[in-house]
Amino acid sequence: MIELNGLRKILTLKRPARRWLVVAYWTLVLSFIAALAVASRSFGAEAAGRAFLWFWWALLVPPVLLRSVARWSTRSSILLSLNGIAEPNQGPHPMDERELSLHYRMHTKAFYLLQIFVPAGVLLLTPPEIHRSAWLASARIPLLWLLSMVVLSLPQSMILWTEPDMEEQ
Amino acid sequence: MKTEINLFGMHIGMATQVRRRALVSTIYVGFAVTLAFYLAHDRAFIRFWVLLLTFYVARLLGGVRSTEPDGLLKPFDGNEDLEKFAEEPSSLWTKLTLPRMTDRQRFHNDERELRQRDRAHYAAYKILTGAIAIGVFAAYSQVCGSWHLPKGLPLERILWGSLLAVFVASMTLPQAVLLWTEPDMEEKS
Repeated sequence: MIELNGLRKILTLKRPARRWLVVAYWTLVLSFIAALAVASRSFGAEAAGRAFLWFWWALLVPPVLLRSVARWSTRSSILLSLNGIAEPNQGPHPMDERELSLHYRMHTKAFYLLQIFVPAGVLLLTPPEIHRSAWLASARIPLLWLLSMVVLSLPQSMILWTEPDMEEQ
Repeated sequence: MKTEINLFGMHIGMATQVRRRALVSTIYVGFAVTLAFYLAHDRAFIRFWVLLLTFYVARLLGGVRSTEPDGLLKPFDGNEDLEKFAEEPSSLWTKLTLPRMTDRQRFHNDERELRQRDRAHYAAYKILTGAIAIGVFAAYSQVCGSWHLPKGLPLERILWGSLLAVFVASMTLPQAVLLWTEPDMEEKS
């Protein structure tokens, strides 16, 4: 894991700005997955799968490279934090007790959400008779892509969305 | 955390870390064997069996909401449920969604337990993220042609096997982390 404390840096932004950031991030992710789902009908599932994997790596690799060039690059911090790479209690500026507790609590809440969505997805998509539905058949792979993105970014998005402004605290 | 587990009426002591680790290892080896069997022979009943087994194991380990919380761990969100129950104990919604919380001690988590719960979920979340990252990397290598799927093992079956594994992890991993890491009960006292 990379030593980095990007979330703290982003938390210095005002809450509306942070919420815009989260909305922009998820809009990008959802529109890319939707576009791939549509494109997979014309270009084939394999090409779409390859494009998604490139997108996935593009969200991770450039920030890591940027990070090695510019130690406190905000852009790389934002992307790494949103993708769950940042470690909360290591590095030159470890989180204090309150921040750490918030970080852990948000992971707990995110885990609860996964406990609802993953079983719902399994129950919805696994019965054999539903396998015959054309719409669901084409939606299954994009849903798995979405799940992988949600697992990566959900707790960080929740922290950025819910934390009050620094002044309010 | 309780010191013994109720397995089909048998009470087995779980006060020592070694026993708890043995329990966790047995559970995950069991799931791994079942999922391997699913990958080898795609049968709908195995998926159904994994779902049932996961709910049973989650209840056995505790941490989940239950009318009779007799697992090793108290329900993780017991405090929130207690608050909701105290607000409207006799409403229909409360009766439908919450267990009867007459025995407060069985549901209430103190500060230390809450901190451990959050840490365990954080660790579980990281394990899940790491596993998904490895899965995506493997998928990437496969798409790029670095390796090929074994004959007779379609990609779709692997995807469903992975989704079932994520389901098992989402229901049991935080409990497993807690049971694995907590020291012996005697040591603590």
